[in-house]
Amino acid sequence: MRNVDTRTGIEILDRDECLRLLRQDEIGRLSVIDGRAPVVLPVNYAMDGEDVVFRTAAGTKLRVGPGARASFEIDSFDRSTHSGWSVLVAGRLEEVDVYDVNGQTQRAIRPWAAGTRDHWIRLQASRITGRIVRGIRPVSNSGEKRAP
Amino acid sequence: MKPIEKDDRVTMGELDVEECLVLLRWELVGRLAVAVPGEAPTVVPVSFALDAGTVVFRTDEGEKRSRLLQQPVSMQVDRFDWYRRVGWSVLVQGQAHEIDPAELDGLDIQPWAPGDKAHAIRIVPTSITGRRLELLPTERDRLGYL
Repeated sequence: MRNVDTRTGIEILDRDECLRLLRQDEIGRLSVIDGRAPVVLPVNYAMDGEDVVFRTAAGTKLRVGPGARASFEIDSFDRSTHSGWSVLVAGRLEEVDVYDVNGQTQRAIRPWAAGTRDHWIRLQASRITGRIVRGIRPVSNSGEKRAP
Repeated sequence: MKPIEKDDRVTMGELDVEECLVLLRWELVGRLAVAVPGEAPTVVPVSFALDAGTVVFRTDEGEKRSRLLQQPVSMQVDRFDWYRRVGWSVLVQGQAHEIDPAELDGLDIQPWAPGDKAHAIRIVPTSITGRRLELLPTERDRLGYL
């Protein structure tokens, strides 16, 4: 059953739908608080069950302690229809040994930014939310509306 | 652009402020990150515009609006080319201020989400940083590991 806010047209996604979207993508953005300000950085990732696993290069300044709270976001936006979706995972980070990440997940993560020593990090999800925003449906030349 | 360090698999380059602003000028949607005390930061896509080196956008949500005015905020934008495996990411960190919505007149802000967004926000940057990311085609390193 679709959960649509009639005023804004925003559809709230349930957890399963969010996980489906998370499993299809490979680039997302990690957000942590550095001092007081949030930093947001793109990472290569893969889902390991309901956790997000990613690699960061040793040179990346990810100054977080174990159990640090973090968010992970993926989205897609179609400029022509002003439609899109976003998923947000909130949880805690832990640095893990590469051998604690299953082989399939390991192979799925090809980092954008290389380093000679990679850190494997798991975001243990406590909250997964998402939404779809549907914009104006474009009208084709024949006058018929296209499905979103 | 600062010199790029090369290795077998990737190159990375830092972007200076001017390069970051040029990239931001072409983008319509960024991700607004706001710290939430005791919780993970919220990250949400928003339509924005660049206005004289500051970032402006609309908002209407009461509780979230007051929170973003109290905490340092960030706006992040990225773009990746899947075929050539190149991309970039720009991060604007700063302080958000509420402004008169009339200041947004004439700026091209394409709405991300519908709804009556009556309030206007300007992020005055304290830091603008960016990075170019590139992944070369090899999938395995010299030793044959992925």
